[in-house]
Amino acid sequence: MIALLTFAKDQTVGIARVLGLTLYYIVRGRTDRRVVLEQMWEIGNRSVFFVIVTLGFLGAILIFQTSFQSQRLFGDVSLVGPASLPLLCRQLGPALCGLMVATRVGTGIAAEIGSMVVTEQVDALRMSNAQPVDYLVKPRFYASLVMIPALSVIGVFTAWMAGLLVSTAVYHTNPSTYLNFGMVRASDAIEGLAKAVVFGATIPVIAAHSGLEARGGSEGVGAATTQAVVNSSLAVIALDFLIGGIAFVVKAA
Amino acid sequence: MIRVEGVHKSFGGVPVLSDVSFEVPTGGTLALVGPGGAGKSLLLKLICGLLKPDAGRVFIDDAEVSALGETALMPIRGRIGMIFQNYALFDYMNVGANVGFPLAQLGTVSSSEVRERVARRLADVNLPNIEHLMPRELSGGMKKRVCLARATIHEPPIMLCDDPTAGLDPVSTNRIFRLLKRLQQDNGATALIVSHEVEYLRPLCDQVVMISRGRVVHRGGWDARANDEAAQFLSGEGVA
Amino acid sequence: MSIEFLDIHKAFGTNKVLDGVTLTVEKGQIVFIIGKSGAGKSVLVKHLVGLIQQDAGRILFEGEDITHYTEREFFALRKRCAMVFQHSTLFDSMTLLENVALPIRKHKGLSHGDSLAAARDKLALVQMHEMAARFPADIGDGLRKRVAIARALTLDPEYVVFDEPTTGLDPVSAVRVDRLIRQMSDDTGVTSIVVSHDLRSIFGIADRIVMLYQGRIRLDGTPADFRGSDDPVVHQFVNGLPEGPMEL
Repeated sequence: MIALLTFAKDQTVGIARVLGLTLYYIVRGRTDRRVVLEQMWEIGNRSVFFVIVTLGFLGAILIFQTSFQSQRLFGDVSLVGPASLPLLCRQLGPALCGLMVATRVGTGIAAEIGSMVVTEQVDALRMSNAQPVDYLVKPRFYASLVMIPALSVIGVFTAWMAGLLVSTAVYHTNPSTYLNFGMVRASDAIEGLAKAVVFGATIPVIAAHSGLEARGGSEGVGAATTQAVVNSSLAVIALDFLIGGIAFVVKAA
Repeated sequence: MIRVEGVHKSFGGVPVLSDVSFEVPTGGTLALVGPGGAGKSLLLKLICGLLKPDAGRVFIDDAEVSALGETALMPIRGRIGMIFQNYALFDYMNVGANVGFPLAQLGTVSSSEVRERVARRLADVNLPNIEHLMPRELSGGMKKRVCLARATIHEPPIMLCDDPTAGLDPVSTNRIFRLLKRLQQDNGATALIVSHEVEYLRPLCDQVVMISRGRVVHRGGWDARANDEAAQFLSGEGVA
Repeated sequence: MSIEFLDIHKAFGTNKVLDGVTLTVEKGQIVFIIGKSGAGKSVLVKHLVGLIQQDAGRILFEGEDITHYTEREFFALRKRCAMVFQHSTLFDSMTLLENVALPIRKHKGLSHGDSLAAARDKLALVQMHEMAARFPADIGDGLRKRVAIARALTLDPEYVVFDEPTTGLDPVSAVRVDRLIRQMSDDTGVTSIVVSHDLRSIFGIADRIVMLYQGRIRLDGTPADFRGSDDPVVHQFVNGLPEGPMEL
């Protein structure tokens, strides 16, 4: 138990250090636009198919099950579409997207940086006076900060549209009944986007930390990748809870 | 000048280096030998400040490397050329970008001059006109020579070589050592070479330090009759 | 009894690695396959245990054509022809004894206790029985290599293929591994096929040497044949000369 707590503390301190250095180099270092664009392609475009497929199915399942319950309880499914949208925007969309991206993008970053560590490429960078956080983490941080919110918007849209298909095909809802934006408030969209931006900032930092901690040979890279998924998934869930709580308090006030 | 004073380093409670001391004078060449896992690579990383010792001090000229932070180490690292055991070529950059990287990173050399110096250095290591190739397209011997080119592109007065011929055939090994010698002599560089190839090190290095189980067991010339383990090792006979 | 490679061709993309290699390995010998890095030495021997499939040519294992063997058939063959990989692939989480006991238990279906006893015997063969309880990470590269050799011997194979057994070892450890291969061959009569470019091993323990160059066999003979060869490529290689006709 104590070992576990110590481990959790070490991980948190390490991640905080990488985050601090990233912010430091954002202020101090120079940024290579081309590298950031490459990373945006790697993180965004290469994940978009994965996000569309997973969020599409999750949306379909969500709408199907909600409609099923609604039909049983109220004998009516006309509110399922409009009522699901705020839920997707505020909560499920960013969280599920965050988890999916944590596996797809987090493992990619951890494996890439981890293999550079174990093959001494990171040492070679340092010997050339290129700091690994500046050179490797910062471009991925910028790219994720833009692309993860973008992926979340796409994911929410896909999930809702997949729900529309299920709703019309299985429950014969009129599309215009489903496509009703009446129940969404600006605060829902803001809360969802805020979460997506925070995930966009945390996932690359956490994954890069795991990669930089890689030791040994290829098995070290494997362990780093696993650690990256575990840490970033935990962070997504915890931050989702935290931001949700803050939003609730802010709205109440 | 490189000076190591009473360096200790352990990992997870297991001591890897205990009380290691030696000095390489400016322009001197030192061979660092010993059985695998004795801590030789670790020692190189302590010398260039990639890792910090648990106790003891490391100096390069007047600077105490072991006490400096990453930013303060920058000017010192700019004077070191390091050849890594695992090649450590950046696998997402082509050969030209790899070799030019230490120069481009200085920010004071124009990109046309970087290109020119890269071309010249690649010709020096007998690999002209391969700037466009990626590291994965090269054979082991070629990668080592590209490493050598990258490590010496900024004409460093200090060279650290970690097993520069690991896994190479005898012909490539001989070529690498000849190249190493030429580059070292051209710059009058201070060199520290980790290798198992005792027969190639002997003519190249004026001093030898042998490390075994984390301790210095021999320090000085190639004649190591005083110490059984070192004598056996340096003769390359390996009498069990 | 022998292994025959008949006119083996293998290319990776446009890179022709083996361009018609014909070779017979007689039982009981130590045969070295030598050549510069990237000459296709490892590629050739990996055909034998089914890790690589040739583009053209046939391989006969004791008269039986294994060219079109399935993975299941190779599984049986690998018990008779073991391979020691370049990187001693021991499991870090197990002691040396358990590392050696694992294949015994898997292939022979012995009980835990019996497999450990058998493993101890194999470790004794490579003089590592006193370190049986230690972990791979605690010992040096040379000792790990010995344990890997013990593990390859667990199923009493008739052939053992060594992929660069002394690469990366210090000279003392390298000589000890060489002696172990020689002694194993003398004691058990096992046939050893050794891929190497370590001149010290080659001239130390080989019965026969086969040099690959540009995808073909350049010279096949005894160490004395190689020392006395007037072929400029062979001469350059065996003397490690930096100047010569060899393409690098």
